[in-house]
Amino acid sequence: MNFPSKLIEDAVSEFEKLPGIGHKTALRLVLHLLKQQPQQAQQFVDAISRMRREVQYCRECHNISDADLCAICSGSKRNHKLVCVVENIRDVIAIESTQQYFGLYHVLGGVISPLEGIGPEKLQIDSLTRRIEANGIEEVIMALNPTVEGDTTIYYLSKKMEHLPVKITTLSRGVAFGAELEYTDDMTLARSISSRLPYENYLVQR
Amino acid sequence: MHLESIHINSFRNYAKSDFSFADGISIITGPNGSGKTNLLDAVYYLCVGKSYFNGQDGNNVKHAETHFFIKGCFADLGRTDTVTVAYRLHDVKLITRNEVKYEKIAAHTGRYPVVVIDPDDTLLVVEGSEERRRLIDNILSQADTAYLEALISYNKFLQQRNSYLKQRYSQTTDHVLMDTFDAQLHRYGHQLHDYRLNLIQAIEPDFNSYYELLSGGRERTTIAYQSDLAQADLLQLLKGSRDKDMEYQRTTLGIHRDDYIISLNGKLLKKAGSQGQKKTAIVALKLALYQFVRRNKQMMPLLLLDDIFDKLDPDRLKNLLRCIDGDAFGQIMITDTEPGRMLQALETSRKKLHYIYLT
Ligand SMILES: Nc1ncnc2c1ncn2[C@@H]1O[C@H](COP(=O)(O)OP(=O)(O)O)[C@@H](O)[C@H]1O
Ligand SMILES: [Mg+2]
Ligand SMILES: [Zn+2]
Repeated sequence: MNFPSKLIEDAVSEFEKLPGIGHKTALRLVLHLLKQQPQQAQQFVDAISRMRREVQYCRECHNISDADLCAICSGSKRNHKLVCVVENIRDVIAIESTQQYFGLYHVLGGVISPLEGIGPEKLQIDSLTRRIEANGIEEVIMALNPTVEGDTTIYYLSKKMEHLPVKITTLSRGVAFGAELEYTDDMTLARSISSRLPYENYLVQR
Repeated sequence: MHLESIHINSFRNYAKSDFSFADGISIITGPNGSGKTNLLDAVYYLCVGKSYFNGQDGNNVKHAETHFFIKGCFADLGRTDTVTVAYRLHDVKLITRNEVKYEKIAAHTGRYPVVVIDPDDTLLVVEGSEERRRLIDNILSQADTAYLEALISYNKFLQQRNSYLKQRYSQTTDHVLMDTFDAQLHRYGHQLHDYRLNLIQAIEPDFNSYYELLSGGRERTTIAYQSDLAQADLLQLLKGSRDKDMEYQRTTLGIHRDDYIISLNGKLLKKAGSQGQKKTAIVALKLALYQFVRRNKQMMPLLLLDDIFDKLDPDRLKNLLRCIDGDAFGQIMITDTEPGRMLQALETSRKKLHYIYLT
């Protein structure tokens, strides 16, 4: 496409770099901004630039944060003896949106996968063990994906915590709520049967 | 369980074709290059979700087309299941059963078990251990999904461990990480080992009697399972070989090195067997594996026989057809270039016959 303006062309090509934004959408967004009052557009630009400049990573849990310590880590209603280990920030957002979890988090920044060049030293593992020791954490929930890399990471972490007086738990895996058994794949069904629960636990889960 | 009908679209030499099958024996005849093997492969796709004869999905798209689509109806105990396999070049493959899409293709494996006997089978005897492992893995995966799941996990952990061994030169070895991989390989390795050992023990009697039935002779056939894990615990083995593994930058011990050794009267089939003995032994092995899957799944697998006339001498062929004609086998599909030969051979069959002529 030929643009009558180099300025517009530059703006469009910046929008296009964003995930999920194609050429047409980029152009639509730019033309929309062009129609706005200058100070409105300025607000948009400022918000993005401040976000990029000022967002930091929490020194305790490595979640995104406005301050040195994030809102979750500094929350007084949170259970500070309970830590949920997750792969990335998206997982924090997913678990937070359940509104069922009131402990703290620890964002590893990935899972162990030598095939992709990710060894333990690239992840926030030392800081986790230090945190457990220093803050007297009582339980660590391993909320990692049920994959080979997730399992490797859980096992590795549990080895690293062996000497610490902390309880380690994992998410249960099985048939999704609302799923029909007939249409659940054999593997999931087999795993759900082998990791079956006493009925009292089932009631609690619901 | 049997396949009632198939619809094939843009698959290999097929533009758009429909076939129906008998629950007995379907005899597929036609000259060379008419698409007999391709038809069997389309059937295999419906059963297992991948190609038996031609490897990669991309190879199976009809030339100058961008996708293939196969649909089949399986009848089982009065109900009909519809299975579809759709593949678009450079895209993901989609498999559905009764209009529900599988999240993982592996979850389809074993629902409609199938065993194939084809001319390339002799490779099983002459080639390295990989061919034999692939056959046994295929059978066990169909017989039990838990096996396939464990095998996929083992292979991924093995890949990760090997990848770590290759990169390690840039850093000091993290022995906790090595312990982690070892523990996982140990866990899945012994599971797989037990499955394989059990299979080999379970098939031995059938293997023997099928060989006898086919050859009319009295040679004693044995199949032995050879594994690093036979003598020792994999955790100990891996610990013991860690230095060596670091030097070689790969995992030198484990069930990925397993082999199955076939002997005839105590002599290695690979070395001492004649062409005829090798072919007969492999057919007998496949029939024994068929019975293994049948017992485990409590259902009759499909049996696909490709070009067996070129493979066995007339006597052995007659014996084979008599073998599979009985109640121990379910739906069968056989290919041949000459319709007359087949008609004659199956004249006295007790099963329902159905002819498919390709041109
Ligand atoms: N991807 C493809 N697209 C179109 N035709 C193909 C493709 N692959 C193979 N063929 C054709 O299929 C035929 C071979 O079919 P095949 O099933 O092996 O025959 P048969 O087993 O009856 O001898 C050949 O004529 C070949 O050209
Ligand atoms: Mg052929
Ligand atoms: Zn925090």
